[in-house]
Amino acid sequence: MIEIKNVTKKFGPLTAVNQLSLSIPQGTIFGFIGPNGAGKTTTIKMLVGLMKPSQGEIFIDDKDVRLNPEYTKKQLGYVPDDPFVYEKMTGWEYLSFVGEIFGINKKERDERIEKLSKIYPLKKILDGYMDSYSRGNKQKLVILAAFLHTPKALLVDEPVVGLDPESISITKKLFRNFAKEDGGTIFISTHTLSFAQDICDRIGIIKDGKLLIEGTIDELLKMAGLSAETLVEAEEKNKTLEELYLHFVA
Amino acid sequence: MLFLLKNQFILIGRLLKEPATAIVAVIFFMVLGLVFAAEFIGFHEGFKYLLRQEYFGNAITLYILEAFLLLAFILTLISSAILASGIFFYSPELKFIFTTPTPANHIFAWRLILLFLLSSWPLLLIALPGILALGITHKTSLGFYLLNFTALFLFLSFVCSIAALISFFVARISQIRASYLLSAGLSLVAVLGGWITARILVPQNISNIFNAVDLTKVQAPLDQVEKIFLPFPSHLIAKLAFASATNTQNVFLIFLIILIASLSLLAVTFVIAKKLYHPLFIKGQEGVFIARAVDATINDIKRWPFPLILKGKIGIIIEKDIRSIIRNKRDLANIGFFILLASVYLFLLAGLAQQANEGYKDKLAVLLALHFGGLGYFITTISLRFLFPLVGREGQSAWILASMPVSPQKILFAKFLFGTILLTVLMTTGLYVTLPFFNISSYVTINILILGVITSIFIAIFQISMGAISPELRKRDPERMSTTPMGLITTFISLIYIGLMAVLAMNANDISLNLYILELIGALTSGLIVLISIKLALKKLRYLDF
Repeated sequence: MIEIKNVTKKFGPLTAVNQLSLSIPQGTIFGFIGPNGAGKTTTIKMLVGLMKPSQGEIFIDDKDVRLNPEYTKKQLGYVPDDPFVYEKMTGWEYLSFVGEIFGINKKERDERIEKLSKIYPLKKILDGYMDSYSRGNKQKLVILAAFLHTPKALLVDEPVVGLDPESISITKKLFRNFAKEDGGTIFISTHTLSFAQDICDRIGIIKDGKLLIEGTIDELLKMAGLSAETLVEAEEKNKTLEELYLHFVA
Repeated sequence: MLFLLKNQFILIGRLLKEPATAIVAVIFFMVLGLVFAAEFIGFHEGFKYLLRQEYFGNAITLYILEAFLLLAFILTLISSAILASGIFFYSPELKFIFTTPTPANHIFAWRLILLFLLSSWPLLLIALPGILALGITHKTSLGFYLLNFTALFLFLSFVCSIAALISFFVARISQIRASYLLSAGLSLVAVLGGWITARILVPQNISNIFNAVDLTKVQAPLDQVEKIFLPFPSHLIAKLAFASATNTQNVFLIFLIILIASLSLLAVTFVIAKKLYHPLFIKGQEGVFIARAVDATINDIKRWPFPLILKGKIGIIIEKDIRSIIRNKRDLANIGFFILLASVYLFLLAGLAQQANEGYKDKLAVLLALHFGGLGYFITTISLRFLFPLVGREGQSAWILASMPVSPQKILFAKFLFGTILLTVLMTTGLYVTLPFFNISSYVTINILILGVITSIFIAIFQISMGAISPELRKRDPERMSTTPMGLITTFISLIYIGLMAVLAMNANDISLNLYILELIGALTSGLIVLISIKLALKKLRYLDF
């Protein structure tokens, strides 16, 4: 579903992403982790078409992002790291706006908005301007908007920052259902390792723009060769991924 | 308070060290200097002539002083009232300052000084050159300048106190949910303000002053002039300037009244601020929390359809832009100011046309060109404020459109459509309403209307494209794009274009081949410039990293 081939992104002398290649099949939740400035957000922005690769190719649903921008964007739902929204629009208007741009007719759009607004407890603020929303509520609205047009893949940058524990739990369920029941693909960049460990099928660790390692958690454990004691202790605390992260990055 | 003020100046100093800001500042002060010089020369020559007129010189000098000081008063009041809400309640730095142990009245004093500095421009550009010219022509002593400049200073504090009180009032009523009614009310106030200003500037009552007496024997009386301007606070400043230049009245008594009035109002404002500023600020901050959104959902059962009229991708982008402009308080304040300026201009034109006799007919073409240029300047200013930053004001929310299946062409087309319709409606309505004042044939009217449409389309597309070339999406305040070097270049080119179109308007009743050739060249050049700017804007949007 998502194919990244030898992608490099340079900002002047700085190489933010260096020869990155990844292939994420349909129905997979892929976790992309790494230190600050490793190139995670830049990669997601290139996938969604917000940035252009300096080199390499990106394919979404077998179509080149550069050559078919409108088609590939239609297959994607995007949740950015900072949920900057139209401050003087209401939540309901924002969802209607997204629906209209994605070409969903009014009846269907209203039904979907009604259904989606029940996922998080957002209904009571949906007619208020978004400048009065908390960060968490903006984040929830942007997540819902990403699902509005029933995309084939989701690109999610730091999805749970600012969310309360109940909403994090709802988000996990939402993402799992999307991947397992609807066959959707999710590409998540996050620093919340427990979240990634709970829901991701595969993990990629990136540092200084280069992919260090990629695989399932079991595969990564084998490659890391951590002692049995460390692993048992980490597993008890649900911190296996944290140990792996520190092992590969530090 | 002094610490806060000092930091503000340090910040401005740092900004001025940035080349782009420095260029804008230099151009700004050059323009300011030129306007000041032009005003001064105008006043100086006028007062010099009037000084030689034994019977009516004094009366007209006083009239001019009164009229211009009243104009400065109105502009200062409007300018400071618009700025005050932002300065006292909506400036982002206040959120931090109010968390520090700084007393609210110190914060108020700091913001009042800022308001004082920022709204002083009408007095600097209108009142100061006038008083300076009066002093020089009447060969006054240094005391004249000291006295009058101090009076101006006090007057500015008087106006800023009124503006601060208005902002408190607005802060209170904006917490009541009646924003559309409030906007309609403020628009009405702006139109009324325009009408009053125009009536003052067109000297409707002046003939009564001179008809009252035989001007070959006695001097025109001053009390008639004073009677016209008596209700306005600027009257005392005009009276002081005139009296101190001509030694006709007790200047110290007038100065004392100004001093007491200004300081009393300032003291009252401080007392009110001490009691209300902090609670009003806190109440305003509550609005950004969830309560307002919940309240809106519970109470506003009526949900306006979105899109309301226009369908499809282009339609909804246009409606989104319109909604975000009319819901933004700062934009609304600017719209109010434009309504006021347009009202002043239109009422002024109507007033002058009513008074004009047949004598101006030989200058009809020039007057038409000036009028066309005036309206063109008006739409250029609106375009610079609202259309030039139309792409840039997507700001940090630009990812929304950029990540959706909508092409840059469609986004740009939506903006063009909104901009061209807005400017064309304003320009053609302005022309249609005002051209009958000139008693011109329908052939000339149609020609000028066509030129108006071409001008509106050019200005809208050119300015939106130029704004898209340098969108400044990451800036905190993309609306300030109009004061960037790119904004100034765009304005400059737009004004040259308006000038050329005004020349064509001057020849609108010429049916010779030359006019058509000129029009054709103008249209082709406009088309070419527009095409190049669209191409550059599209290229920029296609390759922009969001």
